[in-house]
Amino acid sequence: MVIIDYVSLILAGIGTIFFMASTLGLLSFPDVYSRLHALTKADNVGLGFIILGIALRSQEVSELMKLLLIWVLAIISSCSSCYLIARAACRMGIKPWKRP
Amino acid sequence: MNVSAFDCIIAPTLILLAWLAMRIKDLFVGIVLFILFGLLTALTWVELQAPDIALVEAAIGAGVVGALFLGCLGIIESRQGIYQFPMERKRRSLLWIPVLSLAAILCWSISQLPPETQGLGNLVRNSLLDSGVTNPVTAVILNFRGYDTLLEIGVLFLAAVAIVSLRFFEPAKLDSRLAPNSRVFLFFLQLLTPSIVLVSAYLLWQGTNYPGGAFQAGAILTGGGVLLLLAKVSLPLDYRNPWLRLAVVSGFAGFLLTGLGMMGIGMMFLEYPVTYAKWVIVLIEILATVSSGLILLTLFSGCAGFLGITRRGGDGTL
Repeated sequence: MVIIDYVSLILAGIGTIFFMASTLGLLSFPDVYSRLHALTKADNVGLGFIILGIALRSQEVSELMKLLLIWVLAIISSCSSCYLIARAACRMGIKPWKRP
Repeated sequence: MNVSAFDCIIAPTLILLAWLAMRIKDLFVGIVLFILFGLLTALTWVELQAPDIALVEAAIGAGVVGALFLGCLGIIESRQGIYQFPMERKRRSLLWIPVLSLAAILCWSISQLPPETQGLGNLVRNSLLDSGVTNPVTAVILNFRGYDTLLEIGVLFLAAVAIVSLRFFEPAKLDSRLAPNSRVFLFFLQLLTPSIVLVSAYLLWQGTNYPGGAFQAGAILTGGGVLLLLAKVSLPLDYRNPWLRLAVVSGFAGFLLTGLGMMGIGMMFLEYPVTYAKWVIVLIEILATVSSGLILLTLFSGCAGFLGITRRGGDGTL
């Protein structure tokens, strides 16, 4: 194994940790807004690290571009859907959670 | 047979998800579980090194069918409020008889399989040069086994005819608080719609050499169409328009006429001349992509009545 393989593995590992953290947030946060926050923020960072990890191993420029495109599209769709869900929840009258 | 840790996790998870999707009272949660089931099934196909099927499963099994289910649920709930599965215990217990028989038949047929087999893999690989394409899956579904695909497109076409004949286009009431007419959504669509068309064309074209193809490309077009419908962009889905009818029938008719045309020049039904096979396949795939995309979109608009999914009385928890 070359150094670059280790680096790629470590980056993917960091990404996985972010995914686990966001899942933990999704399961344990009190209301829809904070869960959305956990899900869409940490997942995008996690995906970014995993894609960085894979990108280090890519053989061609076209492969690299596709990976980056996947990340960009995932970020755009997750932030838009996050906003739309939160807005719908807000208009349905769901109050943000406050420490009791 | 190698069993990885991944298999050990995913196999029981799939069974658990299927069980929960069936048993859960709240249909919305059931649909979400079903979509999850589809995504994990797609992952399983990747693990089994069948990326073509994985793409179809993710795009159609999880994506389009999930959207269809959510659309139907939206209509039901906009009329009746939150819907609970009403089946009684007695009738449910009767359902076990066909389910268990089917499971028994499947288990039996798996046990009858020879332990190590190449199947038709070698045959396909050896004839690949005659097919006009280098992706063995595309070669099988559009050339070696064209009948099957022709009938599949025919079934899709019939479904669209049925939906249109029922004239089930009565739009359900849209909860105006949930109408996604925000600037963020419009920006998202402006950015996404061209990418969706591009990805669809890419999948269609690379299907001749790599995983991809008409059904995947069509399903992705449908996804874009669903988004546009939800944004209340008016799409030309009026079936009084003859061009729309022509486009919808073009997949099936194009395939059938190509097959019959080959008989006209002295070949078998659905046999292609080796030198032009690639272009015949690409032509059929282009037609199939457009028509299957339109058909799936018709199914969605028929089931959902162009409606946003509303949840009444929800408190943000599932």
